[in-house]
Amino acid sequence: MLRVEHLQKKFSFTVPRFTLKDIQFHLPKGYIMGLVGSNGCGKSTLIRTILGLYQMDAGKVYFDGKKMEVAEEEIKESLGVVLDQGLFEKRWSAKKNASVYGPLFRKYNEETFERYLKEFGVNPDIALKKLSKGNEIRFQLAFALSHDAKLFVFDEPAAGLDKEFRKELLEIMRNLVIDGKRSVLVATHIMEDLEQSADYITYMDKGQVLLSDDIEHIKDSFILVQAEEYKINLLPQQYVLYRKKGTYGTTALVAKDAEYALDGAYQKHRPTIEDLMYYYTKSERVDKMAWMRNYCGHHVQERGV
Amino acid sequence: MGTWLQDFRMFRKNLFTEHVKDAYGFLFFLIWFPTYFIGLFRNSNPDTVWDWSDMVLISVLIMFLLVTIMKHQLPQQVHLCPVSRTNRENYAKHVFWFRYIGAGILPIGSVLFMGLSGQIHPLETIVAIVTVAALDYVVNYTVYLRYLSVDISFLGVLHMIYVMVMMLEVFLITDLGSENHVNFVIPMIFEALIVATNIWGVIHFYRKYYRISVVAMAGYERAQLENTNRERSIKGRNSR
Repeated sequence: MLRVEHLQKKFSFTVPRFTLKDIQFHLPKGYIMGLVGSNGCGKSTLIRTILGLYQMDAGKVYFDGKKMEVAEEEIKESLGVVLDQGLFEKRWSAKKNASVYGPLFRKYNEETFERYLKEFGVNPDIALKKLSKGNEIRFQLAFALSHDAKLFVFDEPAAGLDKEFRKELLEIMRNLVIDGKRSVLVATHIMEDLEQSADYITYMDKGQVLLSDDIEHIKDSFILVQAEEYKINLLPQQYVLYRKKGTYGTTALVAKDAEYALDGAYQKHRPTIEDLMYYYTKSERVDKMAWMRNYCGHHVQERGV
Repeated sequence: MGTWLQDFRMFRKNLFTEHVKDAYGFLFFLIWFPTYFIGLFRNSNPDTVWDWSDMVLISVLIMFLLVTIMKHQLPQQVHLCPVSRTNRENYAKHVFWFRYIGAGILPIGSVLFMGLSGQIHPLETIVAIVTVAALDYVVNYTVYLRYLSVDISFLGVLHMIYVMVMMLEVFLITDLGSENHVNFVIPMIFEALIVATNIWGVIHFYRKYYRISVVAMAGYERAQLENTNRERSIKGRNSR
């Protein structure tokens, strides 16, 4: 559905300078991919570059095998975008925004749009700037649904919103992909939500893709080990990413390859994506990026997904 | 072609009018008119000297101008809609010419008026008109480029510097009727430096955009060819 190859984008005028380096990932049709990483790692920049809001310096973006540069118009027909700070005209109502931008889409259906607005409980006649953030997100979603988008791109849709709305949004995302014809790319730092819904994870750090794989494979590649400190020290250190001392022992994130060394004295847990991010961020290994890539397996496209 | 017209009508009906109402009107009435009248006032009172109140006025106008500039880009949502680069370019071209003529008409007109009425030397008149026209072109060309992308980290800065200089320039050019001709020389030097920097910027961006356009064009031609081939196959199949 969406394939990004060797994407590069350099911002020379930002302080400090920021670069998206050699971004590669593949989101298959019918799945949800979470784009995760700490603040400032480049998630939103990547999304904006993929969407063509920023001109990329190098690389290729394919949608259903079509290259963005060549078939931009056709691809954008199938894109539904929901951004944290929407790009619609804030002074206009949901209805007016839809009446201006909707007809630019061949498959736009006004009745569908109004039906979704009603379903989501959004007042169509109020200026967007007067809507709550949740309702603005709902409006963007209704608009995306009304032109029959195939790829939904969400950028921090639930940032700063309550749990109830986040649950509703997750439900919507899951329903979007249920027929296997649509895909969702969602950038977020709320790991809890992703654990429940995402099929794939693309983990970014400092403008680079650290991992891009299916969530189960990522989780299966590591073990969260709890034991007394001396036992953790006995483990082959090349497999240990980071250890955290606690009151009742030490917890460490180790590569699956270290499993042979884990006897009954070690408590083994399956790490969550949040655990992975935490241990990765805390790790002081100079080669942590290479370590993570090495032990996780490989990028999705290398596995032929 | 049909799509282009359809898109353009949409722009013209909605976005363009809203945009013009908001930004261009603001720029035109709040910036150029006061500038023009102040210039005329200066010309009719050659002995008047610039004082702090002029500076305050200039600062306020520049502030308004900066606010206006920030609005001067294609509504960003359009970049997420299925509007091809060619259509966006066509739209940007219309905006470009509208702004170019609109922004240039008053300063050029006033200088021409002063030249024809003998208030300033014919050579100075020609230099001033050419300068304003060139500056107007480059300023609006940067706006044109900004219409094609929301990536404004570089162009935005250039554009702001440019318009600020142009703003001062108009003040100084419309002050030409006074005896103080030194006002004309200083901005010319300053401007030459900035024009050189910006021409480099424009060439740099033009090359980048040109490359993309060429790629897009190649894709379009290929698609046309595929359509022709498909139609031929269908006709062939039907005839069999």
